[in-house]
This record gives sequence, C-alpha cells and structure tokens, in this order.
Amino acid sequence: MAMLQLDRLTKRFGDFTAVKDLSLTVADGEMVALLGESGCGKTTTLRMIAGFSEADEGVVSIDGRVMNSIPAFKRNVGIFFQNYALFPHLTAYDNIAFGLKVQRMDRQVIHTKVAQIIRMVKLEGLEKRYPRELSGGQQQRVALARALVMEPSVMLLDEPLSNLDAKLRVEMQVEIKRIQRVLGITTIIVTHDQEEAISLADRVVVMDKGRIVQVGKPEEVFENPASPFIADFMGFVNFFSGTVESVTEETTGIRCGEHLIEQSSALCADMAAGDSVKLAIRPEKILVSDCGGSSNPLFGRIESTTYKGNITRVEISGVFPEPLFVHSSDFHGSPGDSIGVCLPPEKIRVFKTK
Amino acid sequence: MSQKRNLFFLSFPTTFALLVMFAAPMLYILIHTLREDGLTYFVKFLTDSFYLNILKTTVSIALRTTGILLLLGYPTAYFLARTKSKLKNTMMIIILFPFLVSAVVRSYGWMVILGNKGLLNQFLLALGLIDTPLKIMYTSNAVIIGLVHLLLPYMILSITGVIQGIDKNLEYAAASLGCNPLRAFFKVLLPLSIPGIISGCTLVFTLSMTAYVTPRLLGGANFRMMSTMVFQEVNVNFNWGLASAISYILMFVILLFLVIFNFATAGINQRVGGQKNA
Repeated sequence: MAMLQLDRLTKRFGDFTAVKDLSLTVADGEMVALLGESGCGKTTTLRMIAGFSEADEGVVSIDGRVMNSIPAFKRNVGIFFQNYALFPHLTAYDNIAFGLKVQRMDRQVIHTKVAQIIRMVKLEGLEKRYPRELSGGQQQRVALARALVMEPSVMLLDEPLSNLDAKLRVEMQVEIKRIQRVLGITTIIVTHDQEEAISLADRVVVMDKGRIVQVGKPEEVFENPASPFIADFMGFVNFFSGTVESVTEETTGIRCGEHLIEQSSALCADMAAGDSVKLAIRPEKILVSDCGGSSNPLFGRIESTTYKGNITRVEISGVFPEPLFVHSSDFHGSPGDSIGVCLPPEKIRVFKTK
Repeated sequence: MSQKRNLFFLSFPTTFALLVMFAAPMLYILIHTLREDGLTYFVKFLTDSFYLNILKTTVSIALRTTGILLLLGYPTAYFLARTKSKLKNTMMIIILFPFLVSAVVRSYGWMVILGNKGLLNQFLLALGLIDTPLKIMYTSNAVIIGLVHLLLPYMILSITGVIQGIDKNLEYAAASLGCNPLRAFFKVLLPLSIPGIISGCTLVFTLSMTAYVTPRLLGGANFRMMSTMVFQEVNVNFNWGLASAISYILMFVILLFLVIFNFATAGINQRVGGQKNA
C-alpha cells in the first residue's frame, strides 16, 4: 500500500489562487476527509493528486516517489467521481473490467478479480446490466468496484454519498468504511458534508480559501473547532459576542450584554480581561426550563417553534442580541411564552476575535 | 394519447409541405415514367457501362469527401466541444461563416486558387517545388476540395453537439484506469460519439451525392456526376424519362448506403444513442 504526501501544493487559475501552500501527509491505509465549502480548493487538490491538473508549486508524492510529472494514466490512483462517470456503452462487468483489460491482463485472471470485487460490493447478478439499467446505489457500487479492482495505491472519493437518499447514505457509509478496512487502501474523501466526513474518516482536514484551517480526529474537529468559521461548519449554529471581564486560575468570566458567563479557564486559553470574544454553542446542547442544577440560567421569549419529528427547533429572543436556536426532543411551549434556558459552560466554545 | 396528437400538430406544417411539394411530385414522376417508357431507362442505365461509371464516380467522390470531412471535422469538433476559451463563440461564427456565401461564389473562388495559372500553382512554381503546373481544376480532386469546403460546417456541428454531451469525467475515468489519451479516445470517446458521426456522415454523404453546383463548376463540362446528368437530360437532351430514372437510382443508392452505414454502427449506437451519463 502507500503513503501519500502533499508538500506546499499551490494551484492558481489566473488571479485566483485555488490552493495555497497545502501540506498534508496521509499514512498508509489511513482514510482522510478534505472538508470544506464549494470553492475551498478541495476538489482542485483531488485533481492534482489524480494527475488531472498540474500543481503550480509543490510536490505530490506517493511512497516517496514524486508524481508531479507522471501522467494520470501511469499513477495508479483510483478515483470515484461524484456523478460516478460510468461508461454508458459498457455493461457493469465491462466497466469494472475496463482497467484490467487496458493492462492486457489474462482473461481468466480478469474474470477472477472482477468476480471477487463484484462479491465484495454485492453486485452479483447485475454484471450484464448497462449503467442506465442500474439504480443510483448500484451505479455507485460499480464505480467503486471499477476503481478498487485496479488495487490502486491511493483511492480518491469525490463526494461519495451526496447523490444518495438518506437511507442509502447510511448503508453506503457503512459499506465504504468496511471495504476500505478490508483492503486497507490509503483513501482521501472530498466532501462538503461534515456528517459524511466525520462518520467516514480517521482524520478530518478542514479547508477554507485554499488553505488547511484545522486537522484532527473527527471528534476533535467536531467538539473543538479551531475557529468560528469551522464551528459554523460543524453545526454550532448559535454565535454571540462578549468581552472577557475577569480571569482566574479556574474560571474566566465573560460578559455578554447583561449576562455574565462563567467559563472554565482551561477552555479559554490565552485570554486576558478586555479581550473581545465570540462564543458558540450547539442548539442541541442548550437545556430548556429545567436546568438540573446547572449554572447560568437565562430568560427569554419564544419567537417560533418548528416541529421536526425527532426534535423541535425553538427560536428564542431576548437572551442575547442574536436569536438563540434550541433543539429540544421533548418540548411543550408556544410562541410568546417566556422561557428559561441554560447554557452548560463546558459545551460553550470561546474564540478570541481580533 | 392527446399529447401525441398535439405533438403531431406541431409537425403538421412541415409534414404537409413535404407531402405536397416533395412526395407527390416524386410519385408523379415515377408513375409518369413507368407509364410512358416502362422500365426501359432503368434497364438502359443499369446495363450501360457509361452510366454505371458515372454512378461509380459519384459514389466514390461522396465517400472520399465524407472520409476527409470526418478526419478534418472530428478534431475541430472535439476542440470546440471541450475548449473553455472565451473565443469559443467567435470560432463557432467563423465556422458558420461560409454558409453566408453561396456555393457558386465559393466555387469561383476555388477556380482562382486551383487553376493552371491559379494562386496555388504560381506559389508552388515560384518556390521551385514543381516545374509544370499541377492539373487540379476540372478533376475529381477539385470537386472533392470544393465539397469538403462546402460541407465542413455540417460535419463539425453534428459532432460538436454530441461530444458536448459526453461527460468529461469519462475521459478522466479512463485515464485513471490506465488509458493513455489515444486508448481513451478509441475505448471511450469514439464509441460514445458514434451518434454524432452517423448524423454528420449522413448529412455530408447525402449532400455530396446530390451536389450540383460544385461538380459542375469545379469539375467542368466533361465531369459527370449523377446530378449533372439529371440536369443535362432534362435541359439539354430533353430525355425526361432517363432523367427520372437517374433521379430514382440516385435516391435508391443513397438510401442503400445510409442503411449499410446505420447497420454497421447499430450495435454501438443503440447502446449510447441519445443517452447521457447521469
């Protein structure tokens, strides 16, 4: 298998710098997700690894071998396209066997390998179908098998789950992870969906404007985003500003309008009195009415409620200048009612603003 | 059902015009000929080597023109379909521009270039590449050059449209599976662009088979193709029976070639025909 190294990769399109000084090492057999909004440079990075696009600066290497001047067809990098890109004029079998046939492999060997991978992605019985005769999920399996059968040193997945409905997503998520574990292929997933990145990857790389802004284990990135931008991306939803008022060994007091929020100093590194900060909390971490002995009870007014089945989304005003959104699984209240909320300090993230 | 009927009404004016102005006269000519002369002229044409040679020349010119157009048109079409240049629209207009000039004018243009004392010969003589002027005017080569120039836009536009519908990712996928650009072309792009090749070739083959102005002007009075023969029999020899026999044989031969052409590519066309990758 293989280790992938990106060293200070830069790609420009005219005046626009799509990727800037991107360095990343992906260990053998590791699954890394490049996560970011569209236009953040993740797809450009993927194309440079695949060899479809040339880096202006920097080096792509696989197992220490520099790939920059090696054309795509000699790289042995497998790629899964968001739209699958199956060959419409070939059957599922011929799509999967395509690369092996290009290598002029012995027919019997091809047959054995294809049969094996077809079993692995559970496509038995569909070999003779054309892509248009397959469902979206089946097409996706063919696309995956077509790349995997080549035993690529590195596998690239471009938004692998975005074209599937909710039920199929969960199923494929499990499948992709299982197959990747079995084959132990070094894999990069490109996605704009934090859930997809977190559930699939061993490590999440968050990108913004062509740069890496945070690298970490899924739970690290999810729980402790490095900036308000990443927090927003990770679903923190509620942001409000404040000023640091007091700092002691244990607690840091932050003034948000009329409220003083007491935060553990461990979560407020490098902060001094007078610093302006941004606070963030997930809507599902805010407690409603019954605060269960927790500190910081605050009062506001219900603006609107949206029943979403498993949760109710409640918009509360009057606590901070910014409206507060709360997800509650068992909510009884109606717009206009006053309501008490608790913001557990250990769930609040504090970011210094410059 | 009612939707089908509505669609039919949309095509009604064209259908009506074709029936009244094309099918009816053709039928009239056929019936008229058969009643007056029976199969005499059909038999005469098909047994006389003079006429058969004219048919052979016509088919040969049309096939060579189609072949050259395919080789010239495909790369241009590919470029136009894939380029991201801002000049793309300008290039399209340049390709369409020849349509604005009549075939007569363009043929006279070629006469100036290809004649014994034409630009091309003078240029080659001046360079010392040849000692005596090349004989191009009034040969089949001149006719083919004229037809290629005349029909190139049809070929380019037919193929460009189809290539634009082929997902660029398919070419990337082929590369990632180990295809060099040439193999990717033969294994993916070419089979998928067959529908465009068929429509382009059908158009230019038919138009070359029936072209009149270009062979008449660039081939000269003694260069005979099926269409110039029809004209001669109608307007010079007043042998309308023979003229209609030639017309029908020409039409039949064109249809025959189109059927062969479609059969040869039917398998692949059926699989890719009209469908695009999701």
